[in-house]
Amino acid sequence: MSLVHPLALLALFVLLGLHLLFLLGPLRHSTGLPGAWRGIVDPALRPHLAALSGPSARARTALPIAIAALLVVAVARPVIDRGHDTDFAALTGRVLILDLSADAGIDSERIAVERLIALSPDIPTALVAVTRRAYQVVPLTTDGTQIRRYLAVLSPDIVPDPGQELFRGLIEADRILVGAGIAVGQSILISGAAAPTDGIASKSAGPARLVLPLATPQGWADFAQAHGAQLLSPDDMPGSVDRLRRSARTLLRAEAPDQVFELAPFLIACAAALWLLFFRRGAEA
Amino acid sequence: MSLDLLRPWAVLLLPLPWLAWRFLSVHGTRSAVPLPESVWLHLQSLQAEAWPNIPRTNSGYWLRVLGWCALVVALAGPGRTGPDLLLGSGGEIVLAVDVSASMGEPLAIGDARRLDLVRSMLEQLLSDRAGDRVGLVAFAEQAYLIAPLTYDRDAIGQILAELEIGLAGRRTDLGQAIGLSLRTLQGSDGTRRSIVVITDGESNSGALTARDAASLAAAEGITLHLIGVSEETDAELSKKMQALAEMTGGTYLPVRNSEDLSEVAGGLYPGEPQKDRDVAAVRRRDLTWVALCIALGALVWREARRA
Repeated sequence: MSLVHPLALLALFVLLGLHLLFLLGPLRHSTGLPGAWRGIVDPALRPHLAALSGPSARARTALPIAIAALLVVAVARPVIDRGHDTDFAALTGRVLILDLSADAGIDSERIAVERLIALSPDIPTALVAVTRRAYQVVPLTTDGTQIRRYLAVLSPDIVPDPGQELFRGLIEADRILVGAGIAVGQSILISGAAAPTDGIASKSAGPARLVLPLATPQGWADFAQAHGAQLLSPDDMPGSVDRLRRSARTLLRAEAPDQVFELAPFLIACAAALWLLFFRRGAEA
Repeated sequence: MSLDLLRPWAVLLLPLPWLAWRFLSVHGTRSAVPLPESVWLHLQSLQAEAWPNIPRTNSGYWLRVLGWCALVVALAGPGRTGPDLLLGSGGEIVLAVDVSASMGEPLAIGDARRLDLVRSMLEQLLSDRAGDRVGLVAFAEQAYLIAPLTYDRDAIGQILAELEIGLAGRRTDLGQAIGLSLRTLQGSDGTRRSIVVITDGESNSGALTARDAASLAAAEGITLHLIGVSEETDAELSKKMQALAEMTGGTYLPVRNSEDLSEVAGGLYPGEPQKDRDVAAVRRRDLTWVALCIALGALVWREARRA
């Protein structure tokens, strides 16, 4: 069993605070009686009446607390994974963008690509080469052999129009991921060169963007920020794969009803049954 | 994206509060402080006199109703169905396209180039193969794997559009094309693997004969479909092609004009066209939390009011 929105459980603390504020507040304790009664009951009689009404008041507050707790847990969406081994054609996808500018350091870029593929051979991966233009070299595939074959021949020497317009690579990656209908996409710009100082900023509304500088990180933080990307260090490559997998799992739990068994409806039904008690005659007296 | 309810029957629960009011026992608040009825009524009138300016609203009642309605809606499971998640169908196809010099000629006078007609036919075929993994081989004297097996049919379409005559030589080596396609499919885990070869002539080059390659495909359980694109009827060639396809349980479809070509896409996999909807898992964004938050808000407000 797992929770789709575990952070929602934090609301329990908020509710607890509100409960203390509303129901067990200092005023209530000082008078010993709820609401308006303290104004019309003789002070000498208050402790006696408070003692009589105490257990009933506790019972009265238990009901909203129980309902609130059920609702908060329902918002957190507990689910049981059905364990289906479904072959999703377009669940995850990753585009690796290679900077093929003259001083890009293609060898280190190749090693980075190899490492990413080795870390996740099951994630469909596409290769994009970027110079003054962006080219899709290999479409999204899990055929690592084919990716490696193209990787081996990619070099700045073979590109027809040299340059370093890296934003074009990011745009091309978005196009590929959106065109293939990938639900959880990631594009990783890999460069062994220095960060470009000019170029058009292009924010992404869809797939996650990462920038992996291999030579010097200087200037890349600004580039990443301008393009709505996160900076990735070579040591955090496994982390990027984990994040992609985690996002895919979360999406399946949250948006693929066939993949999980929802427990929230049962919690809501219990909360609704308790809520009906509010409609008993005299419930608001 | 459209709004829907998973359990619309839950709306029938809306009148339940009336039943609760009618049949559940009277709430015990009045008996929490055991007073005679006359004293109770007197205390209430005193309370009203003590706070004459407090507005006497039914907000408590409406908060209970609001919360109940929100809970019923939550129970009904509101959500928004979005673009479906495409599923793999288990089908794997390698398209082997002849790019020899003769494919640059028109099929008939006034027609587009053979390669252009083949492109539009393959685009039609791809649109029917949702969930299949598709690879692309271009061949003439040499065969090249242009695109490995991918679910991304858009990318295959784009690469097809960029194929050019003469990319792989001028002559035709059918054996090598089938061999490379076969190697692409070997080791894959597809349940229905097939090769579609589109060529306009007889194999006139290469060491591996088309017949040997076809028998290898048959041994691997891979179906070979052949599409012969030529305006001339060569009975001998047709017979050979037919035999190659039949060795693997595939079909041979001769195409003599552009009308034939447009019918091939439908005839290649008869009875199993796959549209996106046929191989997709429903993707649904659950909105129950919105209703639950409304119910929670009503509850907190009610308790704040009572406090």
